[in-house]
Amino acid sequence: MTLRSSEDLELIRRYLEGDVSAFDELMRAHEDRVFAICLRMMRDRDAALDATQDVFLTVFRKADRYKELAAFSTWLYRVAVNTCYDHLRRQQRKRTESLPEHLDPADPRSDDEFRSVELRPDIEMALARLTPEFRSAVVLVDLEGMSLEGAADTLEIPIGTVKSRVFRARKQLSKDLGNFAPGSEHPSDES
Amino acid sequence: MNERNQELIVDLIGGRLSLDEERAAFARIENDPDFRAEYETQISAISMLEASSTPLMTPDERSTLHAALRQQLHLDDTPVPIVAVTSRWQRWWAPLGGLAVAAAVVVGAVVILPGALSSSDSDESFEMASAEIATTAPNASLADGLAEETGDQNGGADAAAPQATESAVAGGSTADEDVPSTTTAAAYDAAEASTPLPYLSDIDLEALESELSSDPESLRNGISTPSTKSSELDPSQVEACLDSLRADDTASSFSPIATATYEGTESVVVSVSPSEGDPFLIVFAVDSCRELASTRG
Repeated sequence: MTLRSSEDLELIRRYLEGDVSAFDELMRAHEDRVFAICLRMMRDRDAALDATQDVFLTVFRKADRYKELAAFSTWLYRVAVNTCYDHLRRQQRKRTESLPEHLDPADPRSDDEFRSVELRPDIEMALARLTPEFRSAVVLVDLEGMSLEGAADTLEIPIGTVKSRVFRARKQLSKDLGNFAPGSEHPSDES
Repeated sequence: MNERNQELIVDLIGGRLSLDEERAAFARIENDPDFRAEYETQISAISMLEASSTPLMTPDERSTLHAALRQQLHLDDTPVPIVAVTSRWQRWWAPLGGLAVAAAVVVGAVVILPGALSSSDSDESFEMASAEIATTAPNASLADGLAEETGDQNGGADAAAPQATESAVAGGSTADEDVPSTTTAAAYDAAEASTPLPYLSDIDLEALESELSSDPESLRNGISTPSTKSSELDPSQVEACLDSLRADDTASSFSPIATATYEGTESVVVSVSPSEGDPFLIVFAVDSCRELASTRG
């Protein structure tokens, strides 16, 4: 068990005992990564914030049901990905357009110092074209630096499936971004 | 490309191969153009993704998120008071019970222990008690007062009065913890008894209300002279009458403010704050819970 995992366990225990400061510490430790995952999944700051809020609500409300079989962070990121899936499904029901308008690079919010450190708009667009399942795999592994095993635990899928999704997602991204190496097969041939 | 080769490339990039497996994979990249192309495509995608920074929340987004979560998780909630005091009536009426009680306590102490307290001591106690109890008046318990009176009867006035004074003064510093609700049976616990309600003899209810409306401190002034204490009140009976009142009218708030003799009957004066309309006073007989008089319109 890592130091972070031990600290998380202790914080969860304190939170369940009514120590509100444990809430703050848990938030500080994980909120940025959860937000980053949500933003890359949702592609929209407001939607990402909504999802982040739902993630932590779920986690804190169900903290007493957390089983120590997996690291807290694994459980947290699993909740994050599943929450994003739910939000994306709801979004899809609400609108027919495939991509939100604010993905336009001309979005004035991109001038904001916090917003400008995000993905390049073309990469964001390419990520948005991936299915949520492929996107979550590449977000966790390539953007969040999670191990393949960690991603498999988080997504609750076999590691072989993670490898396959990551491979195909990267290939699709390269194609969309014009970096498709000559000689490599078209991603759509892989299905 | 078959799945085995896909996994091989992913494992190679992820550093999951043994040294020998890694050497074999790089040899294949050298010699197999298709394999090399797939590998380079993967590396290209990763390079682009890795070039991006981690998105951060703005300070505003962060504080909004924290505030929303704390609210929804009820992390900042304070204990809900059992007795809510919000009506217009109680805004001016609320301090009366406390002031009156404080006055009664001091009066009792002065009367019962002449010479034990100097004049300045008495004033000081009164001011301390008044100041402290006034803040807790909305929760002041009739039962506490009656229990104190019972103590008076059983144990003698000499012992009860200073005890009440000490309780009134010391209790104020921990008002939030010490003042029981008027609705709790625990209010009858003699150990929690702190301050008696004032006793009013031969009251004129209309005059009392009028007087209180114009001078919220008139109750204190009115009892600032020694008066006899009711000797017939049964705390549990009084509380039963209050419970009956509350059961009949759950929308209103009932706050006992004094014991009294009304037309020769042992009574309790209660301020009533209805959900609608002006507050008013009622007097009910302790032995029968019958309403003897009220100032309701």
